[in-house]
Amino acid sequence: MVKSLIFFLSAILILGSSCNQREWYKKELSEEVKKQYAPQLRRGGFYSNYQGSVAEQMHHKEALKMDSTDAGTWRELGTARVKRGILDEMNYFYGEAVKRNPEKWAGFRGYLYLYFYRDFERAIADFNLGDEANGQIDYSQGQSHDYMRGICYYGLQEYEASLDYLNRYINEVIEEEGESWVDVYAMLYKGLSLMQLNRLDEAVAEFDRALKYYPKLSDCYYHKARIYIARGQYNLALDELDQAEEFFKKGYFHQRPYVEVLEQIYLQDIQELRKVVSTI
Amino acid sequence: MLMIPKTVSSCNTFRIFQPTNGSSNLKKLITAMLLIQILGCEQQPSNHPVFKYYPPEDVFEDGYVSKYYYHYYPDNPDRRAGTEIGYTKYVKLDDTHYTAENYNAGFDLVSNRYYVVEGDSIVLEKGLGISSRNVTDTTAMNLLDNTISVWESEKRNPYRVQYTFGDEEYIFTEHQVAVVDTVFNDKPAKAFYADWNYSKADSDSVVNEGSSTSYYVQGLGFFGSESKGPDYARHIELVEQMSIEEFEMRADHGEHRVAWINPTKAISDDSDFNLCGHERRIADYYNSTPDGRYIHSKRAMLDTIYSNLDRSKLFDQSGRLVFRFVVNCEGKPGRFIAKGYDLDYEPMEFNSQTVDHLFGILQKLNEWRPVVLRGEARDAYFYITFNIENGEITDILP
Repeated sequence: MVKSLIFFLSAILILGSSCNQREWYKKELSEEVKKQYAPQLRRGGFYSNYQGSVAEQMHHKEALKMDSTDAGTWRELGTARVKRGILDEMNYFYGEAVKRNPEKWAGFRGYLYLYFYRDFERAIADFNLGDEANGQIDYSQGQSHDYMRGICYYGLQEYEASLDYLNRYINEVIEEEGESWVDVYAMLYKGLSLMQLNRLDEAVAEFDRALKYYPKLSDCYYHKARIYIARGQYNLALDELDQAEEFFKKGYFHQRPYVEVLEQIYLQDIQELRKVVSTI
Repeated sequence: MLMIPKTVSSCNTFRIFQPTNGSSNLKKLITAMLLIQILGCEQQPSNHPVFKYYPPEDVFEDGYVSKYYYHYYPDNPDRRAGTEIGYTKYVKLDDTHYTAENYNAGFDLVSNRYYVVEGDSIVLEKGLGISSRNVTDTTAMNLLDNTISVWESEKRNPYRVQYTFGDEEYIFTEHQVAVVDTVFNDKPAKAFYADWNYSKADSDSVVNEGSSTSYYVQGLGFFGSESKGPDYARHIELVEQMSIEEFEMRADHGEHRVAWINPTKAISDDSDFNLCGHERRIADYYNSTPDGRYIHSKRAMLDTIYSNLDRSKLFDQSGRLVFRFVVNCEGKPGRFIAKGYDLDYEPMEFNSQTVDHLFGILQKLNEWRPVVLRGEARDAYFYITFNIENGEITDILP
């Protein structure tokens, strides 16, 4: 009797407490829908939210819950970290993206290693990985891997290799599209490689070729002045420095968003070179 | 001393009960109490023309949160679909009033609405937007005709609200075309059909128009909508509901924006350092054109660094030493933190003398060009990375 009484009363208590528990609605999504939603959530994170904000990051986390194989979301988690100096997390997230889709993201990570970290060897390895995955010399962020390999070898002070890759890029574009489609900064770096190899006439010709397409590029005038000074042609050097300074002040010099470029020139460089010439 | 439910409709309150003599009577009584308990737990839908399509009254009064996906599907296949996450917290205030607070995926309040239910109509009494530019500011909606929906009779007047986009004033108008009884998830539902448009306030010329269908499901409330614009569709999809307690637990995530600097962890003496704006409005160095940077150019910064550098303080370590900090709207730096990474981008400890020495040099750089956005100087995060190989600085970035 006492046992059954306890049993019934326990049942009442359990029911009494369980009826407080509302079964909250939760939509069950099919695997197919989750695959569809993952990239949508990744993109939707930007609609109203600042990159790297909690709200934006929450979209990426939700996207990965939907589809952890979505390489684009892994990459997107790395993006704000690249720009803000969070190196370990950048490398982790980009690593996950490359692991899942090397065709798309290896070259892109190489671009970051080159410009944000000047980690030239890793950048070259990524360009090679991307090209191998795609079976061709690819482009990342609008730049040819050969072109960027050329800059990497310049950074590694392997100037013959730099020249080789820059030539591959330049010649390919000339052959397929015409010289006017060549990135003038590739010509600039080619000129710089030739300077390092002490092939000064060819360097001047390369800078002049760049100026043909970008007549106000301060860098070319500055580097030509350096060559003229080395040759003792000071008046020519001063003329070039005048142009370099004028165009620099108007903002016509090689620069990139977020980072300083390799061999970035500054107004002080131009003015100091002028002082050198003036004191000779 | 035993406890049983006090009333058939209350599951939460109990009272003292004295058992009677006799086992038979006791069993009958207990069985009856069980039935009462079971029946009492069932939430009977309201008969109210509007509220019967919302969660039960006790749930609504306690408040509940709906999580929605806001899908955008462009007609042009070259443009890509996107989905935004939002939460709405609903609380019934009394017999006729309820609020709806809208939160973004980061659980920040972005807007709220105050509704009154008049007969079979929902009227928007007041709407407030929370400024993303200054999180303490609110902007009241300029409501012109504020009846949102009529549930059982013909709706005569459209809902109209005036918005400001950039320098232009626009009016959003929604005409309820029809309301239809339907079924969703085996539950009674209401479907509202409407035509909508945006027009310029000063000329009435329509700049965007379309149609929509919104669904309310018994026991769930607003279930979603499908809206078709000139070259896109927008769908709102209810994906989850939860208690306010659950929502607040999720909102208490402790997450910060990427690269947030905890001021209490700063290595700098920030006694004279102050933010100009709100903590949440700190931008990033690259947000303006030109970038925020050392005021005398990077070349001058490098000159200062190298002219003060004592190479013996770098020892023989290799890696990347990153100093992150905030430059306020006046160009003053503060909130410095330092973090080291090895050449494989894994965290590593640099010799404290190296950190102290380089930090000491960075403190000599006290004139920074602040980030300027839309003509307003802003606080912003900056960083400087020292690439170090075998005790030599090979690069200073970015």
